[in-house]
Amino acid sequence: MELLLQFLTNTGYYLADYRHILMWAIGILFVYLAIGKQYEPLLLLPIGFGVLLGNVPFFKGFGLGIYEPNSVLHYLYFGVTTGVYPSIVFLGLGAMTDFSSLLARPKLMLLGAAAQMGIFFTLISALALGFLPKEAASIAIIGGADGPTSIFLTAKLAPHLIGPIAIAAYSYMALIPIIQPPIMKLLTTKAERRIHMPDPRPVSRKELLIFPVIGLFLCCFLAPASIPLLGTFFFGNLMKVSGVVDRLAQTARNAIIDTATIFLGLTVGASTQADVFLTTKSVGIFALGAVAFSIATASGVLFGKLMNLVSKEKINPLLGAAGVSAVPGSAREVHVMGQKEDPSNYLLMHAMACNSSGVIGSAICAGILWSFNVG
Amino acid sequence: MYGLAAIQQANGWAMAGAGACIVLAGLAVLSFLISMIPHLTGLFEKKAPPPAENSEIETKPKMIVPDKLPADLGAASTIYISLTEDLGEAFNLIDLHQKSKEIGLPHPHLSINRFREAGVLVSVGEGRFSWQPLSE
Repeated sequence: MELLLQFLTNTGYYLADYRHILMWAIGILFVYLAIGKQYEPLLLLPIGFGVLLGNVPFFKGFGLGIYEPNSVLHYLYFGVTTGVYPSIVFLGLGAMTDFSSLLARPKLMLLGAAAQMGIFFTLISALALGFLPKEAASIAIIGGADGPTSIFLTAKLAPHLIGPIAIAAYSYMALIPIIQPPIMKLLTTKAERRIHMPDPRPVSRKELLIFPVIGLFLCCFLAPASIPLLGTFFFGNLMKVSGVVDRLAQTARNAIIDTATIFLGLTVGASTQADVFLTTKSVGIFALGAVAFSIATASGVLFGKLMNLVSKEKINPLLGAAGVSAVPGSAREVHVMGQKEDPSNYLLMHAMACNSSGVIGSAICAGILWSFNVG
Repeated sequence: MYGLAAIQQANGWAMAGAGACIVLAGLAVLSFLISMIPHLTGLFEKKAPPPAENSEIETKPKMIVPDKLPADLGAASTIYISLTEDLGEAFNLIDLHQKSKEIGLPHPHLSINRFREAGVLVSVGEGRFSWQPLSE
């Protein structure tokens, strides 16, 4: 009988408290959003299940939890804390990305830069709220709307915040269809939303081949701390466009990125153990994340309008909202809103150009913030 | 420490200002360099010979490309099906996309996606696709 009682007191049912139940509710919500609403399922499903997994109560010291040395989850989490998974994800992203529309209209790259202003606004806001500089920089990068970049920078600067920052970043990425459209609508007129973009010019293979090399040299020389992300990103892209290593490019954009995404999502989810995650800091991070995302969207759209004031060739300012690097969610939203106003308006290709420049922009920002906070 | 004092203490204004300027300047330079690539490649490329007059090599009649694809899926797919006649029963989407771009069809990505979603263009395995008659 005593043995049975001892066993029962060791079970998760006995050890659970209200915090675990709250985290389970969050995990189930993520799984529901992934399966039921199909919001970013590739990310939300592993993260949601990871939240459930990480919040099974257990006796500390058994080598089971993600924060306990020598546990299986701890070893898998190593890829997050060292920044290995984000780097691998960028390799796959590079092998997937088609830069031809960006190369055809390079000025769209400025929209990707403008959308990064949310990062710096949030940096100041986080500092004002009392976060330490390294924590503030990690929170600010949520404004880049790039999960792997957020995780990478946080792993380097404030590893204790990986859980809340990753969850905030991915939650807001999943909520793009809810967050971005009202901001885009508020800041643009009907006539602006109806602006058609001309078809991009054909881009030669040589241009596609030269771009990753120029991109690598310029971006990584400017912010060397972005090498782990942009180095692999441009390498992946060169494999894709070279056409001579199709097998490698295929593997990078399928098996490799999928494997990294599975372990990244699962372990980031599992890192949200109730005792580590449910703090006042997490609440602040979520609030600042929403601000970062909204400012990023708004600054992209406003910059698009500014470009129209100074440039002869008009661009649709909605494209600015795709300057955040949430690929392809924000580009899809821009396209959908453009089509709502005028069904013959095809913005997707142009929005993808802004999206891909946003990926580059947010990785540069991560490099800059890291170098500002070294030491 | 909170508020403006905290921002000043952490050198926040300088970090935000410098960071924003660096990323804007960096991407502006990259954008400029990208716009220069076609000129750069043009320098190294030989000029293509002018097309011979009264060329007798061209045997196929030139296809008339509409400015806008017909909204009807069947009519739109007919144009695309004619492009794949040389490619055989099963073909790669890259080849189809290439051909549609060559003759200047508008928005080939979106059209091909529409065909796939409607089941007009179906996978036959190993990355190859073939046309299926449109079901009524």
